[in-house]
Amino acid sequence: MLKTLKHGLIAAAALAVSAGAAMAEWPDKPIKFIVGYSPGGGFDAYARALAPELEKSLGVEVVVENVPGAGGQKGAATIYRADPDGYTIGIWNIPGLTVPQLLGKANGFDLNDVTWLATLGNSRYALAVKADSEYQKLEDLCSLGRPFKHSDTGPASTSSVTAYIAMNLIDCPIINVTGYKGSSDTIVALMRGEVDATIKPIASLNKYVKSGDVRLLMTFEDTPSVEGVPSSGEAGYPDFSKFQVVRVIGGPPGIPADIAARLSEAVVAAASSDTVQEWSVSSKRPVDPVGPEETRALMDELMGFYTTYKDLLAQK
Amino acid sequence: MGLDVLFDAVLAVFTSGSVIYVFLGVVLGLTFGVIPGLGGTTALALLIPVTFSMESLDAMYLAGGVMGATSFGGSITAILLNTPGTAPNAATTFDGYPLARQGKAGLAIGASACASAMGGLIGLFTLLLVIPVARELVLAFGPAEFFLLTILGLVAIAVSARGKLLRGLIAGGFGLLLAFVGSDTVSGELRFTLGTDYLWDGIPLVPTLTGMFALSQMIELALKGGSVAGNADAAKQRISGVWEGVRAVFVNWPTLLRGSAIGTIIGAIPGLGGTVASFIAYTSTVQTSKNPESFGKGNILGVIAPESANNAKDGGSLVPTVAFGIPGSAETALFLGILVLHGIDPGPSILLDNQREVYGLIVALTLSAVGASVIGLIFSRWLVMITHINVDFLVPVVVAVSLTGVYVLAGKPGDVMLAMIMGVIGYLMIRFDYPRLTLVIALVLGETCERSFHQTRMISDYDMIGFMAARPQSLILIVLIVLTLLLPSLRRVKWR
Amino acid sequence: MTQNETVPRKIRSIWPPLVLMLAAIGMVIWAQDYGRGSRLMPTVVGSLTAVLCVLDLLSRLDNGLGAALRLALGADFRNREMSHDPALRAELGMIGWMVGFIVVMLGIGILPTVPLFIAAYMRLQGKRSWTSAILSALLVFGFVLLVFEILLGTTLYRGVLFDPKGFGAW
Repeated sequence: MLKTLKHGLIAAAALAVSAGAAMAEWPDKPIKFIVGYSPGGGFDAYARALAPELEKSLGVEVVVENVPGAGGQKGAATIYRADPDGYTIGIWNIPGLTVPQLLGKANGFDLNDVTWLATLGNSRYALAVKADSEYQKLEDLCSLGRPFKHSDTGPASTSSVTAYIAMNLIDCPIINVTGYKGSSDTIVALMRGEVDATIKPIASLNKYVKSGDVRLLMTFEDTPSVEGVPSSGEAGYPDFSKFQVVRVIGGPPGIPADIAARLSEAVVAAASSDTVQEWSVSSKRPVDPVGPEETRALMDELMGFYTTYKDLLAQK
Repeated sequence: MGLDVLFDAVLAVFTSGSVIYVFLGVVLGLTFGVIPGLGGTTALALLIPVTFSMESLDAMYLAGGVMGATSFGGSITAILLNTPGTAPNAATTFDGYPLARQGKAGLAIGASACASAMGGLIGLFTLLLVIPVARELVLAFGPAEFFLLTILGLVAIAVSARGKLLRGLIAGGFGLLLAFVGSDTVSGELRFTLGTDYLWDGIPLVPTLTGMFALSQMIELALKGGSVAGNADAAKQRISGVWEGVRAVFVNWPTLLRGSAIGTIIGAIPGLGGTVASFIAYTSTVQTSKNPESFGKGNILGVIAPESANNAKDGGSLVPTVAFGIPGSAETALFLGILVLHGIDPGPSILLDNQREVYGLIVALTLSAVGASVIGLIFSRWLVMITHINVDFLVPVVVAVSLTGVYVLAGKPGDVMLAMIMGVIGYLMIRFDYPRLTLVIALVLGETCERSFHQTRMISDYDMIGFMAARPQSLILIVLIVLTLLLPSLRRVKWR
Repeated sequence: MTQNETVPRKIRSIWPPLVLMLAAIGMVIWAQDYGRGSRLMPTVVGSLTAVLCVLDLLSRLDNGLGAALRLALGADFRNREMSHDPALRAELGMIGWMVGFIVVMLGIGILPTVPLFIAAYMRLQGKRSWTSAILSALLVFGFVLLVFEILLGTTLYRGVLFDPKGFGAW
């Protein structure tokens, strides 16, 4: 109740301040597209692929702006604090930002208030080991007589959270070696033999599978999508398919409804365009856009899912 | 693969007329190198949006032009104003600035230009040679070695500030403490942030460099009055010294080769970057010299060693890039970022899939290393005049331009404030004779140092010593650390 | 050590190491607020730095111990970076110029501040002629405008007074 009230107040204030001018002729100036990561990462790639198509359908320039820092939280806070006039939107990392919020470590944003516009797509995870490793299946890693070592960027990163919760679900002991600079570094660490396995998005691992450096043991999904690799559903871990990286487009709380609707439409249209779909195939980055209602539902579902493991995450 | 590909790439850059992009990059790289605090990383970061609309190969030429030129550009102010343009140029100040004050700036600039070009060429040549074994080379170095290398770098820097070992170590300790500010890369915990999100990602480097090097030096110079070369005989300070400097590089070829080799190897280690390369090159030159007392007072070898290492590291930093598509330095990280913008996803097969771009970059780097030095030599006559410019003009200009540059990088007014605070701290350090260099370099290395320390602990099952003892790479580094630390003290005692 | 007699008293006084030692100890105490892994390195480095500061302090004593430490640890002042000894007023004046630049810049933005600062400094501090001061100011203004605003297309800070976001831009 209180939340709805707050939401309403913000919206009303926003309307009073900016809507009058904005409604008349939105959009009439460039739109800022905030990415909370440096140029070159996955989220940046999505934003850059989307921006030209968005420009076409909105008729104004769409400027991608990188605001890296604090594991994406700085970018999130920048979007959240912007004026809700429809001229600032951005891409959100779910559950990369969900987990800090659950643990009370989020600074400057609240996912419950964000104006969700569309979901671009989700990336699935896979468990990988070194190509010449003796491990053939997940169970080999769990029965080492010691916790298996897993490489990751930071303890709050999406793949860290996934690895931690998933292995706890099946009582498989794990040590998370964190601090690597990016997902490539975590995979190189695997190749150096510092860690036993790593759980990363399939798209990131794929390059190293092709070059013959790493081998996939299992993908985190119900039906297998990679040839010759069992899915977690097949291997008897039905819960694992809930773990995924979702790339969501959203704006600051309180964007007027008509502007939000137009933005949503434009994002979905841009993501469904031939150019973006071709890019998606060639770069192996999934793009299956869905609109605002589905996105909101997905946000609630994921928040609920991770809330179940709040205590587990907190004691990490 | 190899020479024929390279030959094609060279041909391509000239026949397509794209050589203009290399040239543009060189000019921009020199400019950014000269402006204190700013360097190749800043220039490339600002260029990324510009390259978006360019052909991917042209973007590589531009990036290569910038990368190859900044380190020489940065050495110019290191020599003339005791203000390294970029962090890796810091070691050049030890002997370059005393030379400038003695009125021999021409000699130092000439040596720096030539050593930069030669070092750059040697580094790139080595890169072409090691491409077949690049993968093994990169995999040989893990967190244990990263940790030891940061320690070696710090020790090398502390001992290279002559007669200031103790105060150098203290400044280094504070540099590390400052590096711990912000979110802990291993645990994610926020530390020492004073409750502001400005410090979440730690103390930003460019404002610190600008404050510590440029602003504090300007305060010192302004208080001294006159000009840098002061009362040195102006008549002697002519262009003639420049060619003498160029000659000195070839006469002292062992120093050149050692500097280049150190630069290439350290540059090749991913995650560390080349900042320590120039210091290790400098220290090793001092320690193998028969006459170590002459360093720090204007020994030309003290310019040749760090500057050759400095440019050789660019070639080295491409080793991890061609092996796995991972960056070996901040510059190569941005170079990979440019590739991604052009729809290329760098990975372990980068050399097969994106041969054109990788060799394009190598060619651009080669042209740039030589081109920057040639431009430098042409303009050296006017550059040297900087040391005769009165501080009344020099001080406000350097302060205004470098503070503007600080703002440009991230667009945060807070950065300008930080630069000023660091400027005052830096001045106090000059005044009370605590070396600023160790503090700044420790700040640069602190994050890698702490991160790799914790990683080594975890991957060694909390038995770091046993783990390192079993790795020959680690053992060599430990021996080097001990030698670097003990040699100067032993020498000092012996001479008494 | 005879060299030490030429070094100003305040440079080789025991105050600098004392202040630094307290700062290092302060950081160590502060670090104890954090988790086990996060406080480890700050504690180790801070403690070592504090010990080094004590050695620095001892090496400044005019007795056998001080001399021995200066020799063994390389802590003498023979090769000082700054050999002149300006008056405190001059030092504060220079720092004042720097602070002035920041304050004006925050108020009216970078572009007008650059020429203003250069002209004012050259005229007031350097006692140069108005002509050379204004000429230099315009020259540098042109360079900053050309490189940053025009070639690289960045927008330099406009100042609290002119930035539509005011303090919000922070």
